Amino acid sequence: MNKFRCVLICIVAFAMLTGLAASSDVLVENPIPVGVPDPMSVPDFTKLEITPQYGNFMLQPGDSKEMTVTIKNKENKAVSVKPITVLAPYSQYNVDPEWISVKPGSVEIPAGGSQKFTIKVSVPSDAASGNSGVQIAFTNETMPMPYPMPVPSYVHVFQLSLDIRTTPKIQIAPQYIYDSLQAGKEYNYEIKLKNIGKESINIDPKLSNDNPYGQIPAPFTDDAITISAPSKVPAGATEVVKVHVNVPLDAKGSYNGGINLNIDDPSIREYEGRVQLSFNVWRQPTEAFVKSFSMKEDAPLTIEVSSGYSSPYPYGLGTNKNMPSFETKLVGPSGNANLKVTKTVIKGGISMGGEMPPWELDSKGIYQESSFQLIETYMTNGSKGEWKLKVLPNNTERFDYSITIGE
Amino acid sequence: MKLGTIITIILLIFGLGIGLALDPEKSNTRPEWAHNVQWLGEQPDNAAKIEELLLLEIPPYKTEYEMVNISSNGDVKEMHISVMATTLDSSNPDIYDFVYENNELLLTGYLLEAVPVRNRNEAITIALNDPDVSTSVRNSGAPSVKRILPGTSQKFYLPKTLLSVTWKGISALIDPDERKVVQVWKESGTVK
Repeated sequence: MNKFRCVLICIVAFAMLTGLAASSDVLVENPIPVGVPDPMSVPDFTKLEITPQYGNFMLQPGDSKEMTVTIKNKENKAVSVKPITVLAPYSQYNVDPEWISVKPGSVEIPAGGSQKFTIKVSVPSDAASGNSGVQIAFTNETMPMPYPMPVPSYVHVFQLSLDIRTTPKIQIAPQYIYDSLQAGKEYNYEIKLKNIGKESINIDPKLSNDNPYGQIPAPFTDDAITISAPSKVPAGATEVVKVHVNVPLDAKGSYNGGINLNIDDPSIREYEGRVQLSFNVWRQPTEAFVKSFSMKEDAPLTIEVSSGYSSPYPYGLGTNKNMPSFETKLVGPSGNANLKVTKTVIKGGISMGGEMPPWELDSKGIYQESSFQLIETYMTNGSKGEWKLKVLPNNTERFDYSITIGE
Repeated sequence: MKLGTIITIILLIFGLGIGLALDPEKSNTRPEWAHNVQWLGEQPDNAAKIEELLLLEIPPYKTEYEMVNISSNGDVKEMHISVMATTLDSSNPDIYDFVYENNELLLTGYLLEAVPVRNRNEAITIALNDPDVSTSVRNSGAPSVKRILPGTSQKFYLPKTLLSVTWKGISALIDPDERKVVQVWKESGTVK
């Protein structure tokens, strides 16, 4: 690739020194001196219809692929067409123009006629992974610009997106660990790495200190997370990276980070070799919430306890998928009351649209469960005196209660 | 009847049986990914034809359907058909709404959440790799992950299957093949 880069730099330097407009089949960064156009004038471009106007090739090194683009001449006279390849000026990935061929190389399309062009991309077997956009310009007509541009803005172009990807030799599962954690508890997760290549691959998993939330304090520091893993994954084998999270007793809030697996495989892109960690820490109370109240006379007592609304969606790799529940007690003048659940309500919120992304509008009108809630009702016979309602909630981060005295 | 004629007839029947056995596609058009198909309520007269057309329209995403429930209402001229398909590797179903009219099926709506956990998690990972998304969804809980069909996708990107990862007020449209976010929507109305 360095060879190609050098060639490109030489071409640019040559063009700049000589001031010659590039007339070859390949155009590389070539600032063009353009005068300030008259804003009132409407450019009279040649009327050519290009179908399709864009394409997307995903190729592996050594692969080739071609497609056909049709140019229709909408003019009343013949038009000469000579396709050139225009490279993206700022792409971090260098496409060698020799990978791309367009046939026929030049042609005159009669008035009202059409011409098919075959665009073929051949990627050499030693090409690196990466992506870049290129243009095939079919004429040298450009949009007038009030200031010089690094690459002319061609009018009659076909946009081609190239994504050169080497098949990763290692498979990672999962790449996302999302869980709701309880303070004071310990959790274990496993990340499986399968080497489908023919050679052993070194790994060195480390917590990556790139919390996207910046200054927001995390509920625990990185030393609460222990990673143990072998140093390599042999060919054809599956190894396990073990992640142990020891949540401190005083932890609260959200932890967002990641594990960089540091896989020694150039076919793995930077983000592909990373496992995202997202933990929401809450404290499961061990003591019941207590509410004292008085009764002036004997009467039926009705207690209602309801959980907060929860999301119906499961956590990524969570272990806390349990429904909310309550341990409810009622203590009266004579000790523990005989409290019976007389009604259980599972309540849901259903959406049929509302504010939604435009690409989800086809689901408008279809029922979507957006939340659910547990409501339990207890009844007992109350008597005059002092009472205590005790509620210990599980798997919910908030709850409501009501005490109804009398019918 | 002569013995030769009887033998010929027996051989023809035998040969026909073998022929049918060797061409299972003609005798069974149900795809392998639909383990069970069930009509709920009263079946229309042309249920078999509708079912055949439906199964062409509702292939699952990276999984197989354990149960496909079909229900219909309306008359022969314009029949509304709902499909709910469930899988073993997702807790959410795929839901399709169709109208059957003039012997043709028209897709009128869909909500496809039967995305296997692995693919669901990958989509969320890709969405969170977008800095704009990751900084906006703190403490937003688990997102929904919905499959977007090519007919819809082409309005926003390319005519291919995409995944929509949505938290309250923000959504990322994911190209799972290219592992990239192709559009981000925010409730405020901004789309980038």
